[in-house]
Amino acid sequence: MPSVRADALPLVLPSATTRIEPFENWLFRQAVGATPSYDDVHEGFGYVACARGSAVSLSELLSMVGCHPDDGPMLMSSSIELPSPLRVGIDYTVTARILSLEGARGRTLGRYDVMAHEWCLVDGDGSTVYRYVGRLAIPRADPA
Amino acid sequence: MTESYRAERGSMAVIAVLLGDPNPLHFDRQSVARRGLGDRLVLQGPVTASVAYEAVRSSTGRSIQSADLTFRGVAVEGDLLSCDVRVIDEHSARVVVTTSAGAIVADGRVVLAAAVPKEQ
Repeated sequence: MPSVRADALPLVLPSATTRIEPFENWLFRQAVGATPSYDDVHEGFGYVACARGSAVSLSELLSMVGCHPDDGPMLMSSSIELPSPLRVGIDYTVTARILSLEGARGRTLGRYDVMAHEWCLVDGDGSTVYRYVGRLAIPRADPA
Repeated sequence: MTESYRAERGSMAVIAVLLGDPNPLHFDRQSVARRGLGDRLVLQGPVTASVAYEAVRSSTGRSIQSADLTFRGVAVEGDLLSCDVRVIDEHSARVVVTTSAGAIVADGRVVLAAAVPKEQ
């Protein structure tokens, strides 16, 4: 059962600090077919920085809503905002929130919940330079 | 304009390490088979998104200010993804990611960052 109650959302989670290393950006860019660069941070790396740098991992987030990775959670949609470019070699604060958890039903998944969660990267001036909102389908077993 | 990307095991493994993602569906074929999902690794959704962002960047020469993508299917190891980018107006573009079999993996709208004037 979920330990997070829908009526207690949004839920602010602990924050942490992360840093984008130039070699990681280079490896990421190569892996997604982008032109190699150490310093030009790929928009997609914002997700990596959040997922790895967050105090609460995606697996832990799923666990909080009663889901194990083996249950087959699926990414339904993602939104990103980049008010300014990401940069290598500086510290970002990673903030995290669970925004909502809503029940749904579909022909393929049967009964499931939709969890919306947010990760942000905040620079040393307190400006949010990256915001990610993902909506995940959390399969739920139908009651017997 | 269309850009393409091949989902390959080595790249998926690099992403899994960078993400710290322990989900074996992205690197362990036996685990994929045990789940009854065939014998090919499942491409990470954020990689599909990044490939779409890259296609928009490459097609327009502009960075991305925001993007909203909907995932409609799953890409697997070996799939050749095509990203069709259509510029809507001065500020935005639409992108559709499909497999070589024609299945839509993701689509959505991207708002482009302001163009940077070239130095004289």
